[in-house]
Amino acid sequence: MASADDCFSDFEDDELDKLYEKAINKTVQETVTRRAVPVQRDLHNNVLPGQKSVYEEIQRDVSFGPTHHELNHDALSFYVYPTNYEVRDYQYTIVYKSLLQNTLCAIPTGLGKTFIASTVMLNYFRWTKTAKIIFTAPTRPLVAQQIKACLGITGIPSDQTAILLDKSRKNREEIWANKRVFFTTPQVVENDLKRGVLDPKDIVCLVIDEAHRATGSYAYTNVVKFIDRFNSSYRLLALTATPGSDLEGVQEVVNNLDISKIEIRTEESMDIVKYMKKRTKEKVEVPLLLEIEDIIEQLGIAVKPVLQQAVELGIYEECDPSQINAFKAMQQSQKIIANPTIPEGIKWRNFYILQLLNNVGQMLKRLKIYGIRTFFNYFQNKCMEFTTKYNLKKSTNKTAAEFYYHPILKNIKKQCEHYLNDPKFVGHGKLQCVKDELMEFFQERGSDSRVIIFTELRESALEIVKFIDSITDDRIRPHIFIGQARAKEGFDEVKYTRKHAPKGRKKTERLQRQEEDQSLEAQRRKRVDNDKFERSARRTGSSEEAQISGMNQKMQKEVIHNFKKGEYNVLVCTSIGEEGLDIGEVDLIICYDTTSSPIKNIQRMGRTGRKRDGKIVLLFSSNESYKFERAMEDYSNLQGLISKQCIDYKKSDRIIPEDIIPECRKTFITINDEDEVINEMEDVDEVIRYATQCMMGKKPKAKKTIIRKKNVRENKKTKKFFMPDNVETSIVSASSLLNKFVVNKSGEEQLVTKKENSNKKRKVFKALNGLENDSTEEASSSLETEDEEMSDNGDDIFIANVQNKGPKKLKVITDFNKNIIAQSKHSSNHDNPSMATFVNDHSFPMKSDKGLKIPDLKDIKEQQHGLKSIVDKNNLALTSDEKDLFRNHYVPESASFDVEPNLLQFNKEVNVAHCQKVSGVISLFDDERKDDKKRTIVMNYTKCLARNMVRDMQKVSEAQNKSQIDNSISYESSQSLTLSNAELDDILGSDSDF
Amino acid sequence: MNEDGDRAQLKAKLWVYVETRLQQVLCSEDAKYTPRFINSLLELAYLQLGEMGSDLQAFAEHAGRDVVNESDLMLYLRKQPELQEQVRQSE
Repeated sequence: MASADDCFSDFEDDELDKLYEKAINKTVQETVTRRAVPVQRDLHNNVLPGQKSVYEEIQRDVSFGPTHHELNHDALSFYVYPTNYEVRDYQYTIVYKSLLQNTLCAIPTGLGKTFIASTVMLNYFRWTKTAKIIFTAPTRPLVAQQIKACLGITGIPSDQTAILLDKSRKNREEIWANKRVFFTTPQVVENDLKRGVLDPKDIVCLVIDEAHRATGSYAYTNVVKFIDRFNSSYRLLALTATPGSDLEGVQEVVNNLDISKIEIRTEESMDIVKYMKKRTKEKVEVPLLLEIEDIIEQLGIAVKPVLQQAVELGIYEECDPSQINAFKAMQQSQKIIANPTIPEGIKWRNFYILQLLNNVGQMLKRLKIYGIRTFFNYFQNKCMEFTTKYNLKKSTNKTAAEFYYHPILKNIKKQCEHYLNDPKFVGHGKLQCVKDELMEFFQERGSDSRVIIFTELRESALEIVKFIDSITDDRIRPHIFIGQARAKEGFDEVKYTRKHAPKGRKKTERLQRQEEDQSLEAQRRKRVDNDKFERSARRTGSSEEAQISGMNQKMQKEVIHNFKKGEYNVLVCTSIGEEGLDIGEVDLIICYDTTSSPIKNIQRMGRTGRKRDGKIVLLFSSNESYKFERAMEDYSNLQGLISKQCIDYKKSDRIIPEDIIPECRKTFITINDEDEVINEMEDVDEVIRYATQCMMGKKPKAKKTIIRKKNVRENKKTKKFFMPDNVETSIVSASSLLNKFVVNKSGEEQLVTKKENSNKKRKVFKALNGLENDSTEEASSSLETEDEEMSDNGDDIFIANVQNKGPKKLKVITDFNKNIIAQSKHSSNHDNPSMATFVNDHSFPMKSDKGLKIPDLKDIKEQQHGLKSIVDKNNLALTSDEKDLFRNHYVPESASFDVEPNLLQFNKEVNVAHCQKVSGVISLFDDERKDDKKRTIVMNYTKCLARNMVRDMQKVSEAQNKSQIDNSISYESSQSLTLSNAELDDILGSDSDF
Repeated sequence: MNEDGDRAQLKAKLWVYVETRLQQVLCSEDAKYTPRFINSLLELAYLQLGEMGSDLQAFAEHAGRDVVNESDLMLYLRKQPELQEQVRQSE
């Protein structure tokens, strides 16, 4: 979990070093040699773009100052090497090198990395008086393993050790403060460093297990980065079996952990070979079953058109249909999605094509490597998913439809069902091999030996378990071993159809649907229970159970325990069995498939051949042997590169003074009886429990009991922020950081020195002083009082609060208003009239010489019910000095708020015409005034019409049955007015009725 | 031209009503009026009505309707609740 302050990726190494120089005792000397270099020019003697004219060589010399840790000088002259176990050459050399430099120790699993770590830890424990030593590993079992070694072999006193796993946070501070040796997981260290609970300067030795994980922003990287900021004198020892899969990976780990040396050994290394037991590797090439080849061909036919289309579009390489690679297809599809230049329609069409190819690739992979059963599960699932979606019109993917509805697929389905119904059918040639191997093995060794079978897919693991079980040989007892995650539920056709079926809106339909849902749910549950019941009856029941719901840690431990005891002697694992867990020694390892990761392969094979001779069988099918060879070759190349100094290392702090060279002292370490018990413990939890007890001081035989009382708690430490040295810590106002300029008499800007400023500012801000020191809980109450206070002032702010007061108040305020306006008029010659009015003059109410009767503020207050009276109004108001200051210095240039609208100032003047009615009225009266002829004519015309109407109406009322009326009326109305000028004048002349 | 003719008719009708109303109002008092006065009064009334009409139309359009109805009128009279009451009662 990287946080912003831990991310220094923008910084270069040298910049970082400069930053840190003051904090830690590391000095970096850079010698830069520059040389001019001729550049290429074009015909016009211009320099061509993209060229550097200088060649720069920067040499960095890093040196460290003396360490700040307290050293036991008498102990420094030698280092202890425990001889409780056989002294091995490679361990001896690696320990010596690791003491003086930061080392990455890469030796195969089970060859004693734990021992090397404990020896280094022991010696740093001896050499320093109070410094802290931390061991980190990613999983609990690994931590437990290390504790066993440290306490049981190297004899680090258990009362100074602490184990810090995820559990409690309460006592952590005390534990970090009081103990010296810690066994934790890296996230714990990261969090405690960030919280300020652990001081990075106290650390003198940090051991990292499974160091190949120190990439990106895994906790290891963050921890090292954080410590580096404050402390350079600490020793780092990194342990792993495989430092990385390629040179870049290894370089990244080296960079993140500040490694100075890599000690790498493989099974072929000379100094290792003599300690290893014999390990025979058998590679078995398994040909494909005829049935499988047949199905592959059929799939090929079905997918051919899609493949052709893909090739034509240029999104997938040309290849034989049976060679479709799922991974390549997925890569291509991701590339397409990430490309922003492709238009949407094409992008998605290509994506779906590639997705289909990906699915087909997966099917082929399962067929070729794992067997028909695994293939069929996947195949059925995909088909059902697609056909359901397509039938419901949820998907309109035509290319996929062509594939899934192909008649050949039905054929495949039939065939598979036929095969699988036959109990004797072997899904893949590999299963037969497995059977043969196991029978042979247990024939030779007897049922006390152990076998592990590795495979990548869970379904495949279950298939293997079932198959082995079907051999019905009592000597062979298999069990599955997988991770904690729940298996992904296959596509549930019924659920999907129901979800997407058109739903009715009526209540009856809804109720009906609910009932159906309930009954379906009940049915499903019954089925599940039934299955479970059936399963428990079968021998492979618990394996099947596990495959469906995953195995939690408890189950895992149980299975391992039973495996070691002998209840199961064949363990079928997925990748969880490769790394980390202590499954113990096995005599036979069968790799059912291969991975392209050399690390995984090596981890798998490392499970045997340590304490006893072992055999490894690798089952290859189709192109797997090629995959395997290539991976292992790459890896051995890597080793060569590392030993050829192709990696950039960092220099590490020697810590021990230069003149002292410690010599080896081989001693047999006697462990006191109490701690001897730990060597007998096998169970991880037991070890952890024991260690926790030691930490808490509740050892069973201990004489003094360290009472960890709750009241013996020191004052809770305030959170410490580890700051570089020259930092001012406090909250500083931004304005104090700025320079102030004052316009002095000559009109120039003059810099006001800080001292002056601060004085003035302090005075001015007095008004806010009360507020500054208020904590947030009191804020609300103080706000209330402020409201009331403000309302009692004769401020302009008062006006805003008007609505709370009664009508009586209103009158008073309006009086105030008048006063304010009078005031502003007075000071309108001032530059900032608004500012002037805002600056409240407290003598305000007293200036009753304006002629207004203003009741005293105090009277008003009393009239209000039960409000507090403000004792010191000056707290909030400004004195005249302050007012002047405001007026002179705090002139807002861009923004100002006018409490009272300034009607003298305006920004824009626009002339807008009146609305229609008003302009009509205006024009009417204008015309009237001027005796406009046109208007008069129109109006008179209306009058005429009106008169006619009246007459007609009278006529109508007189003689209603006459139909002539309509005609006459319409005749009148269609009359248009076209008069000559002369006639106009005539009409105008008479102001009489017609 | 038809529109103008209609408008003229409308104005004429309005003229008649204005005159009758004026007569009603002034019958109690001792004031006299000239036709010219009615002309002007008519123009004013016409302007007022025109504005009212466009307001009502705007309200109806705002409410998403084509036809002006009672609610538009009520909105128009929102500042004179007594008038609103009168109009409602007369419905």
